[in-house]
This record gives sequence, structure tokens and C-alpha cells, in this order.
Amino acid sequence: MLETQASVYTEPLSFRIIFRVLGSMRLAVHLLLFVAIASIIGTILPQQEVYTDYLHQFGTFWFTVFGNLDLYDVYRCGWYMGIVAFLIISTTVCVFRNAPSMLREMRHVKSNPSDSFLQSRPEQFESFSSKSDTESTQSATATLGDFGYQARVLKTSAGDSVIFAQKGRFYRTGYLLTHVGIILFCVGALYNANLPLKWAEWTGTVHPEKNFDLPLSKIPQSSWLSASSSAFRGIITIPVGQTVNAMFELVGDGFLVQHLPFMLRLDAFKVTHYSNGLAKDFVSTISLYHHDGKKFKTGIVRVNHPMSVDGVQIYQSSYSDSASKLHLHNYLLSAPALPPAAISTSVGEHLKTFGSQYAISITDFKTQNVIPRKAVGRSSGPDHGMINMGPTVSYLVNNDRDHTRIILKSYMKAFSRHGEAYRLIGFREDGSSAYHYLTIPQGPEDGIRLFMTYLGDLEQAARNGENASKAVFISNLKKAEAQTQVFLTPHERDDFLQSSLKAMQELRAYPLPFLSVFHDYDLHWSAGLEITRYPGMKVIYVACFALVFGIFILFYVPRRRIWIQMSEDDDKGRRIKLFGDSSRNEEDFHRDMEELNDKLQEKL
Amino acid sequence: MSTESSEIRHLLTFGGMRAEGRLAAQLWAAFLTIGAFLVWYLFRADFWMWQFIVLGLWYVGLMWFGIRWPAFRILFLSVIGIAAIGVGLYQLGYTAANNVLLYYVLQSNAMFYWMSGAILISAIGYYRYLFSGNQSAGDWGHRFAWITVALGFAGLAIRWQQTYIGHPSWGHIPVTNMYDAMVLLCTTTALFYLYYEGQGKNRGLGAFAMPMILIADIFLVWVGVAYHQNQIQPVIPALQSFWIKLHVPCEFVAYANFYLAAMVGVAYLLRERAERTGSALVRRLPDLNKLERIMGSMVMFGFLFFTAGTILGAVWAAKAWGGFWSWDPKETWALIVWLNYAAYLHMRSNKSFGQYNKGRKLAWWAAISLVTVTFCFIGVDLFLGGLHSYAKL
Repeated sequence: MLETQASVYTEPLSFRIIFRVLGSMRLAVHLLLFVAIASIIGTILPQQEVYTDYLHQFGTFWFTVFGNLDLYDVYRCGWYMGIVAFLIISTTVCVFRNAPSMLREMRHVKSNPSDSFLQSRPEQFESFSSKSDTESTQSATATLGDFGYQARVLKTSAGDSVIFAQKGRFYRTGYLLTHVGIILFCVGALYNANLPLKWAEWTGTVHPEKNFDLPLSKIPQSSWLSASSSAFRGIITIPVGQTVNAMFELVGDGFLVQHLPFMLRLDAFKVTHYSNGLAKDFVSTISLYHHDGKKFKTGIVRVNHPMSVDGVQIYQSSYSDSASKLHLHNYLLSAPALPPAAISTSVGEHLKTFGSQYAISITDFKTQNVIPRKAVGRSSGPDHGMINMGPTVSYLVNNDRDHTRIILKSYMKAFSRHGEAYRLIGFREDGSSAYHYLTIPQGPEDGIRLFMTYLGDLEQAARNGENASKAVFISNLKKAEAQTQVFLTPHERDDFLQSSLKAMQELRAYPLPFLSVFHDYDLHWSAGLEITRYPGMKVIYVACFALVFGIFILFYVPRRRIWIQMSEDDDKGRRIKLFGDSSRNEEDFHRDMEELNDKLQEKL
Repeated sequence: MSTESSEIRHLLTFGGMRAEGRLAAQLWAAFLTIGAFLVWYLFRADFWMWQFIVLGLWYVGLMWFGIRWPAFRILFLSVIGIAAIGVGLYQLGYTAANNVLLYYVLQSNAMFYWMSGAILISAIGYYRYLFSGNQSAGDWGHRFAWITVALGFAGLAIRWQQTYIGHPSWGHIPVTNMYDAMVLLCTTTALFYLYYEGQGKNRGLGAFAMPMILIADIFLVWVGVAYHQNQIQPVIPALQSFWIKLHVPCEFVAYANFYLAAMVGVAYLLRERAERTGSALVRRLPDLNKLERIMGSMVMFGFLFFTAGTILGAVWAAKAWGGFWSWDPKETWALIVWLNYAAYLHMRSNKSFGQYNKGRKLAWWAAISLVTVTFCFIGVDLFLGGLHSYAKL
């Protein structure tokens, strides 16, 4: 007993079993499915959102339960990474178990195997030939050549001839490339994931900041990452003309600040549009500076066209309005003929008017408004059903006295219908969904000055006791024309009278004592740039190539081996035995072998 | 390595082919070579590395398909022929508004309606063949399946031209919304069905493939009518990329094969039942072993293209979104589909477990995977959104 144990080293049983189970196909199938099912969670539950949103959605109890299960960032959490790691370990063990024998098999071709090996091949045919040894080997070699095989003639120890031919000798590289590819891929992904940082977060040396309102200078040093981090992916919003040297990385419900290896200035930002007003391209022009202030690169960053600098990639990610100046003209409805007050404001600003009875908050500004043509009563065009309504400003008016909230949307460009130009102002009460519109005729010149003056003159005339007759309308309009120096042709005047009647009717439903018309704007953009450094990308690309190439070999390059044994047989001449096997697609191979056998019988 | 060089020589000289087949194959090779050379000559100034690689891949792919499958050559030439007429008319300045031929036949939307008709007839034909054994119905199903493929691909080619009409800056490959995607799915699936039909020399499976395509086609018509997706719109900046021309076709070849595999899975289960009950279906479907092999080869082909397509998508994402992989719902579902079929293929190739009733297990698995694939393809866009949500309705 002791002697046998001493002479042969065997692994402990338990270790061998673990090794076998880990590398088994059964485990692989179950793990693959398990990872697949676990992955579903993160697609159902939106990932990495603001934590208070989750709290609202699930309530305190489930919010805590889901939080403890790491469901808000499931793909980076411990248990998910654990299953994936297990899958990779299993794959690695599988490769270690199979690779040596596969490599051996590819190196040592079984050109002249034992009889028992041949007898166990799936394809076997037998025939007899009367031809001589050399003649039959020659024609067999030629026949194999016709089938695309290069044959080798060997002699057995008994002096018989064996012809061996094979295709796809390196078919096992399919298995090796796919599985090594997967392992490599994960190595590359781990390298990109910046493990030292994950470790530092876990041990608490790096501490994500939770207060998103802090200015950069107030953020504690424990939330800063050095520019020498091996990998990072973050985002920064820069107003045009400003320079930054850091960006933000979201981590859980907080963020970290990543120092950039350079300073970045946004020189310009531009949005281009298609003819129908939809966005066509977003282009940032940026300059990069060394920390000593020396500029070393200028270039543009567009969607799908990132800039690459020393392994750092800069992407166009988003854009936003950054305090563009909006110029409004404010008319008083109680005294419409007064020249309007010019207001300059920007999104996010708050104004007070009418002795601070009304608080105005500018909520949104858009340079383009593409809506279906049908929505504005136009038939849809031959190629596209959209129309661009031009720039708009949206604002909210809060009446402090009766606490009503009115939401308004003012269009800068005139909208033309039946050859007449109108200004649109939409309004709705907070809570109702549909806008009511004021459609104010603007006459041949931009703006609603003429209409407002005309309105003032009419009111004046009414106070003077004049009756509402067509003659009065016309004379007052003519008066307004003279006052504003905007003159209408008789035909235009008719149209104007008609549409101004309609506009006055619409004004009755208008709940505010003032009317703000969007006059003009000065654009100020900021661009959101995403900046990444992924040192593992080369490994990942190599792994991907190995994977695809490996799958191709695995599926479409079978190994097919053919042996032809020829031996003397006294009764019937020479006995020809044909053996073959294929690593894949045995049925096709069987058909080929039958054909080959027929050909051989013809020739031999 | 000497064995390998003899294999290549065998391939290049079309060894193992009958004489008349060899001549046609050589003509095909010459045609493709001249075509590829012309493309290279005309566009070489605009091309960069990847476009040359893609040209090479198309050359090899078409060559392989054409040599292995003679009928494909005729299809390819008919598609070019039909598309050339449509594109030519547009080039000459005609539009659907002033040309009757364009209006009723050759504008892409009309082509897709004709294609829908062909799909319907084909599905009925195959269905009648399977359940009543009417041979001529099967033949008509087969013919109309070819018409489907020819109209679909020619229609897409014409639609590509149409995106430039009126506003040259809009031009893009028509695979950018759900409508275009469904057309591509219908035609690609029909094409691959015909390929497998040719390989297996059996029409019974058409009764499974074509009705499924018909369902996709009904969805396509509905999306076009109800959401006006048949109108051509310009594409958003994120989609203006060269990679879309690689990523999307690869994924659709994969989807087509996965869908067909699911249908063969259903056929397998039906045939198994028919064997127990002694129904006449047995005579019109391939035997179980063959069905299992067809199903397996569909999954393999799909898996190869799905892997390649997903990686190409990730490479594109690395260019457009700043990350190779962002765990966007579509990406995650692609991973789920990939893992699912990886598990399937492991199970299939293994000879040590799950042997009892393996064919039936695999058939059920392939059939159920239809749900996973469909969710990845359409469900994510409809229900989950995320970065891929341009295909949204």
C-alpha cells in the first residue's frame, strides 16, 4: 500500500472532483443560463438613477431591500461580478483541462494508427482490387486529390500500404480561440474597470460626495481622483469659452471628481439642422492645454467622431442652453398702445411684475420646435409630415393673489396661414394639458406693434362712444398704420381686420394683464463632453477577434480523416479498406465517403 | 501546412463540381471580381481601411453563397435589375408623383406592399402543401418566397436612393427605424429559409417559416400605417455612422437564423407528435435527425453573426457613446440572447449529459428562445427604451 502511494503522486480526491466539476460542460450550461437570467434584473429596473427617485417609486421598505441587494447598480455589484467570475473560472479550468490534449492531438497526427483504432472509426468500407500495389496507391492518391485531400503513403510494419489524408488538422484552434478569447475579454474589461479605485472605494479611502450642489472648490479631497488613474470614464458640462481641468464620475448615489491630465477649453459649440429642423449634428471645438498653460491641441469633437489624445478619448455627449440671453417685448393689455417694455432674461431667471403680483419664471428655451404639420392644420407634405415652428421660450406665471399658475409658450417666428403672418402665444393653466393659442396678425412687418396700437385706438374710440362698425374699424386701423408707420394694402387691410377680430376674441380668454412676445435671443451653449481612458481596449479587441474567428473555425472547419489500408489477399486480389471520421457534420461526411468509395472502386 | 494548401487549391479551381456547374461558378466569380474591382476603382478615393475590409467581406460572402447555392446568383442579378430601374428613374428626376411606374410599383413603399402580398400567397401555399399535400401549392409557395426576397431587397435598395431625393443631406442606409428593420427581417428570413430549403430539398418547413414572416410583415404594415414610419425621415446624429452598415445587417442575419431555428424547433415537436399519432405530416417533413441538424446549423450560423454583430455594435458604441459596453437594456438583452444560445450550443455539442430525448429538449429550447430574441429585437425598444430607443414607436 505504502509503496504504491509513494511511487505515483495522485491529487487528493476532493481536489480532482472540484477540478472536474468546474471544467464540466454541465456546469458551463447552467452558469451561462444563470448569468443570462441575472442580467435581466438590470434591464427591468433602470440603473444608476437618482436614489430619491427609487425611494419615491418603491417606498422605504423595498428601497432598502433593493439597495441591500445592490439592484441600483447591479452589473458592478459584488454578487453579479461573483457569478461572472465563477463562469470565467469554470472556463479557465475547462481550457486547462482540454488544451494539453488538444495541442498534442494537433501536433501528433495519427497517420498510421493501430488496427483497433481504425476498426472503431464510424466510416468503414471494404472492396477488392486486382491492380498492383504501386498502381493502386497512385490512383487512390489521385482520387483523394480530386476530393481536395493531399494523401501520404506509409508502410506498416507488416509491409502493407496505408494511405492517410486529412483536412482541418487545426480544427481544435476553434475551441481554444473562443474560450481563451472570452477569458482575455474579461481580463481586458477588468483592466478597464480600474480595480485599484474599486478597492479604494470599498475600503473607504476614496469617498463619493453626495451633495451635487457643491461648487468644485468646496468638494473634499477624499472625493478627488488623481490624473494618473489608469482608467476613467466621466462627464463634464462646459459653457462656451470656459476651461476645466476636472470632470465627474457617478458612483452609486454620489460622485467623484477626476483630475484630467490636461486643461480643456470649449472654444465653440454648434448645432446644425436638417431642412425640416431636426438636429443633424452637434459640434464642439475644443483646445487642450498643458497644466503650464501651453496649448497643444485644437480640434472638433462630433457625435460619432471622438477626439483621441494620449489614450484619452473625448466624446460629444450632450449640450444645453447655458444662460442664453432672451429678449422679450412686454405689452400691457390695459394700455396696449404704449411702446413695449424690453426685457432681457435667461432660462432659470425669475422676474416680478405688476407690483410683484405676478412672478415670472423662465422655464425653457428651444431654438427649434419640430412638430407634425397636422398639429397646425397643414396637410402633410409630399416627403415629410413635420414642420419647424422656430425658437420658443416657455415661462411660468404665478399670480400671488389668487395662486393660479399659467404656463406660456411664446414663438419668435411668425407662422403663416393663407398668406397671412401670425404670432403665436400658447397658454394653459398648470394642470391642464392642452394649450390655447393667441394668433395675433402681425401685418407686413415683424412684431405685433401694429395690432397692439390698433387695439389701443379701438379702445380709445369705444371710450369716445363710437359704435362698432366697419367704417370705425377701418379708420382706426388706418390711424394705427400712421402711428406705427406700417402700411397695409387694401387687400391686406381686409385680411387684417378679419384676423384681428378673431385675435380679440381669443384675448378675452387670456388670463393675464400683459403679453410677452419673444423678440430675439443671443445664444450661449454649453456642451457636455464625456472623457474616458480605457487602457484595456487593445486586449478587448484582440479577444473579440479571437472569439469571432474561433467560432468560425469551431463551426465550419471540421477535421476529416481518411485512411486507406491495402493488404494482400490471396483469394480475391488486394483487399482495400477505407476508414474515416469527422469531428462535425457526420452525415455530410458519410455522403462524401460513399462517393469517395464509389470512385475508388471505379479506379482500382 | 501542405494539406491546407491543397484544400485552397481545391477551392479555387472549383474542384468537386460538375462541369456545367463549374462554368457557371466561374462566371459568377468573374462577375463578382469585376464588380468588386469596379467598386474599388470608383470609390477608392472615398474609402478608408474599414470600407476596404467590408468590400472584401462582401466579396467573399457573396462568392461563397453564389457558389454553394446557384439560385442565389439569379436572385442577386434580379435584385440588381429591379433596383437599377427604380434607382435609374429617380436619378432621371422622376418621382412617385409624376411617374406611374414609380407610384404603383417601384417606390419603396409600393414594393413593400407587393412584397406583403407575395408573403401572404407564399405562406398560404406552403401551408396548404403541408396540411393537404398539394404539391403545386408548395411550388407556388416556393416561387412567391423568391419573389418576396427579390422585392424586399430591391425595395430597400430603392429606398436607400429615395432617402436622398429632395434633400441630399438626409441620405442614409434604410435600416434606421422599426419599419425599415421589419422589412429587412422579412427579406433576410425568407432568403435564409430558401437557402435551407435548397439544402434540405424539402418544402414542409415553409409552412412554419413563411407564416412567421407573415406576422412580421403584418407588424411592418401596421407600423407604417399607424405611426407613419413609412415616411422617410433624416437620421439623428448618433446614427450617422459607418458602423451602422455593418452592425445592423449582421444582427439581422442572426435574428433571421434564430427565428428560423425556432420554427424548425416547432416543426420538430409537431413531427414527433405526428410520428406518435401516425399523421400524414410525417411524409412532408424531414426526419427528426435531419430537423435537429438543420436547427443546429441555423443556430450556429446565427450565433456566429450575432457575436460578430454585437462586437461591431460595441466597437461603434466605443466611438459614439464613449464606452465599449454601457449595460444599456439593448446591450444587456443582446448578452442574454448570446448567453442563451451559447448554453444551447454547449448542450448540443456535449455527449455526456442530457442525452435522453435530447432532440426534443433542443427543439423546445430553440422554440422558447424565440421569446428572448423577440424581446431583444422589439421588446426592448417598446418597453424599456435606453440608448437604443431610436427604433421606438
